[in-house]
Amino acid sequence: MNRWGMVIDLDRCTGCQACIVACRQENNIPFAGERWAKLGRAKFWMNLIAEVKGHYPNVKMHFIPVPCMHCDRPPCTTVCPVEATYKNPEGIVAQVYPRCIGVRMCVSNCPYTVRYFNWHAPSWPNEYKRGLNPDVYKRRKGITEKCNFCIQRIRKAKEIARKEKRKIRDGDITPACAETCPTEAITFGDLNDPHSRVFRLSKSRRAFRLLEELGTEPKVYYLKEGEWKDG
Amino acid sequence: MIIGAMKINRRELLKMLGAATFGMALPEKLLHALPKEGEWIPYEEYWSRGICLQCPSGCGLNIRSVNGWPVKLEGNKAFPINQGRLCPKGQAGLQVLYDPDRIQHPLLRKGNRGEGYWDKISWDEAISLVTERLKRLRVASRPHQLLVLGGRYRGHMLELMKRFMETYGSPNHFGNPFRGSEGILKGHFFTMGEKDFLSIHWEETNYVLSFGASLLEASRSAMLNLRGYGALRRGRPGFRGKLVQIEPRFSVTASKADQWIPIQPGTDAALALGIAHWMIKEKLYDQDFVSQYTFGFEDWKDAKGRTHTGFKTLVLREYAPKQVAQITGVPEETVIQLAQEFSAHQPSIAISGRGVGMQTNGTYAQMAIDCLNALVGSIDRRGGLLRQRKPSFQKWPPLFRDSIAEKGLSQPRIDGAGRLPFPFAVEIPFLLPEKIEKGEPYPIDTLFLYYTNPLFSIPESEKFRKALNQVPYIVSFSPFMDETTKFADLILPDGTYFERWQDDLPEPGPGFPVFGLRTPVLPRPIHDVRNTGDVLIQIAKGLGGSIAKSFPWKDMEEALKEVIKGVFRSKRGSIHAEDFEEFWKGLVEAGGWWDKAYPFGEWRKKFNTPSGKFEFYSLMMERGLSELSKKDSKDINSILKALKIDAKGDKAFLPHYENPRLIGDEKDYPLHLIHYKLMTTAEGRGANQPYLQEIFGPHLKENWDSWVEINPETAQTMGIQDGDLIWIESRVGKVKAKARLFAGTHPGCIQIPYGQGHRAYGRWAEGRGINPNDLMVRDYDYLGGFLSYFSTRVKVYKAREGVT
Repeated sequence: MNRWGMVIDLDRCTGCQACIVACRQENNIPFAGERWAKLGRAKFWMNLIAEVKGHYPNVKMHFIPVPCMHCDRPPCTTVCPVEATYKNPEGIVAQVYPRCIGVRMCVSNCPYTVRYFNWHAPSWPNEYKRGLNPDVYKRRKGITEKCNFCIQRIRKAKEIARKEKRKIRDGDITPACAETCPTEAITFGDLNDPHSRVFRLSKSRRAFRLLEELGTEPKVYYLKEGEWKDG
Repeated sequence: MIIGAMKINRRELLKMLGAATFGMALPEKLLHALPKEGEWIPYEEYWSRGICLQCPSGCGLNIRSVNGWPVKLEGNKAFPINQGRLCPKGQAGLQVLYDPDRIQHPLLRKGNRGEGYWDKISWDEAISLVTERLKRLRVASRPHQLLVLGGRYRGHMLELMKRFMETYGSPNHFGNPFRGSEGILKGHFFTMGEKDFLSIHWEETNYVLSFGASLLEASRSAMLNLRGYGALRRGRPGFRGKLVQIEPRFSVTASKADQWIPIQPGTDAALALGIAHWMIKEKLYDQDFVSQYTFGFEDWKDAKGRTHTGFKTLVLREYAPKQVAQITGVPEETVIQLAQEFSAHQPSIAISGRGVGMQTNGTYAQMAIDCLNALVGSIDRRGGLLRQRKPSFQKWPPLFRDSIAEKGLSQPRIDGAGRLPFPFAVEIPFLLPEKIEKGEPYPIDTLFLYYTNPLFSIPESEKFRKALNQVPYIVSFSPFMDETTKFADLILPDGTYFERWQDDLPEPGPGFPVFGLRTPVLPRPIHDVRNTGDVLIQIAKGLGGSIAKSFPWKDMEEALKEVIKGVFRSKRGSIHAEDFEEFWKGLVEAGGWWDKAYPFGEWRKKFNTPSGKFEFYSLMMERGLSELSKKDSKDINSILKALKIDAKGDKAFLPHYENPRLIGDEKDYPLHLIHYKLMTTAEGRGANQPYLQEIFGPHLKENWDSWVEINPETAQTMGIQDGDLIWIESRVGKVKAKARLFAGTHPGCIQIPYGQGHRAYGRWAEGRGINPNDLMVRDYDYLGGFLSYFSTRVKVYKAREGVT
């Protein structure tokens, strides 16, 4: 059984946000517009957190791209009264849109704040509708949605592998964020496969996970920034 | 290419779609609906290639279309610039194609200029209106009164427009696409005779000394530099290169650098020369390179036996780290540390950004930085700076010029570029407001605008707007209703970069030759718009005579095929084909052509300078100015004075530090205005794309708006708090915006990002935020002949509620 996971190398990441736009275009995520964005209602399945510290000239700034952590012990699924969200057998924390009734317990119980509520029906200008991805399911107002590791791409890759009568290979599946990343900071793959790149990177000495102390067992790993050594 | 759920060939699909008319009138079955959970709606899919135009990087696109409509952009994996990757601007590209506010057909002004009332007219009418006007201008022997302002030309579109202007007979073409970072080019020109940007051999660079190069935000080439950064960090197992960022602003690049060195704005030349001083004093420089490939390092004697000062003498005399520390604010020991590391960790490179070059002393600063590269021999070697090689395009046949054209071309350019006080300038569009308004040396009759928007991009745009009132006829080719297009009399809208044939020459690229090809992704443009290349060819044909003869092609596609035949004949590179048709097919399929062999070490043997070497002492500059002195019978020193250069004698031809001129005295205008470009929208063309608006300023979590960054301590002394509305005022203008306290701001500066402040350009862009150009005072680097963007001082004060 596959166990999908992701590694984000913060030494490579430049905070460019290509992953964010790629994710939104791939997953038909509408922009919120000025009014709702200012209220924090913009949906970013992949988000970028920025932190500025210190005083001039001793300033530090860090960027962290934050998708859903796809926790092995997800705090969000256990609070859903209608089982609209669950961890699927391959470890993806998925959302069943027709079942969701919008109580938002999952949103408030997610320590990573990566679940997004549809406060409004998606409002696209008609012209943009031509550019929607037909592989992604419709969402309506009043339900919750989130990153699903581009599950439509996983489905497609499996389809192709099945047609070619072979197993999925490492690198067959690339979520939109990983595919576009200019500095190749994002790696996706099977954490159960000891030969996969993502497995190897997750064991790096630089690897860590967000809020590890909560015991949520995220499947998104980060690699911390390096330092230059003279010599 | 067939990847979709159903097997369908792109050509076949295009044929099927060909029956459709413009706009949404596609056959019903071909429009796609979104599935509900668990549902599967079959669709037809195909992938095609393209080239992005969201910035000048020229990345290859792999475009996924569903039922005929593009739905997702990926990077073209084989294309050498981006190798399958795209930046946020590239990813947002479909919002350019599908922008609801695109101009949909030719428009003729109705009512007053700028009011926004238009009549829809046909293409035949529109083209004949332009042609008749241009004919009349030639009959009156005034072809030079046609002025063309061009901006983001790509590939041969620039050549096509140049050709048109020459055969038509006007010297007034402003087509320089490098306006914002010309200082870099002028430095390269005076030291190496190079007129293009240099490429960086990122794969093997160990140490990068970046003088304000905005590597991770908006640089040339943004994509190559992003990718290069990734390679520097983790591209080689067990090795991690060092990036040093030198600039007053704590930028994204500074935050990701291993060392950030804040510096006094406009003093980069001094720091570079201080580093050079230590390297020379301690003999840390590449003596082989310096002796073999450079000129003017040591003192030298000219043909008349006069001894001239060399670089070494000047630098040892004037730029000891201690002296440099006083000018730059960079501690003496840091200067020494940089010199030691820069020479110890070769291949090392010194690069720069617009904050260094676009100063009143920018040319000399860039020359100084180029000299650092010469001191470590990092020019034209692995891990160093490379010269961008060009594909072997075939030249178009010679054009024809009749006597009217000859007469028109003999007129001086309206901006005076190439003459004192701008002897080395290519063009100076920033002088146009006054020149046009006064009609000096002659009035302008007709203005063409191609992919440029001066009412947004030129400082003191209000003056430019007034000047436009003096131009009887303005024609715009823009796909969007931008500020200047709104002011036009006639609009002949181009399509977007998904809808036309166009080649694309990335400058700079990876060093080896590469070009991309845009092909129409749809059977025809979404709206009734046309490739400006095609339109220009039609206008030329309509003008008849020598002009029509100079444009023998049916359309742009045919004209392009002719130049690309040269590449086919070279029998080199990524596409092998028996005949040209097969080559062309391969080119469309691949989205471009490249030849990955770079001849290391060839360029350094013969620089395009009078000495044939890298010139520490610029004979290039000396020769240019002595010719001028003969022609105008002025002595060199009075010419230097006209160029506002303080240095005299040999020093003027060597890189040195000149005090930057700042406009607005320190008492009234205590803060230095720094403006910068964000990764999301760069200079502002992305402002009409909601995906980019919504992630506009990630470091301060700002979106859909502008802000002004102030150092928190500076703000405190002025009683300004985070989020307060403040006025920012310079000698020429004032704007109101939200203050953001940002620790990465130099206490003596304020920082404003470009991108917002549009007064037109569609529903998403218009009427939000501020444009730093509205504050900017125009001053120049006269030697280089370009605008100094960083010379403005400002004051800020709290805006009172309800008071404007």
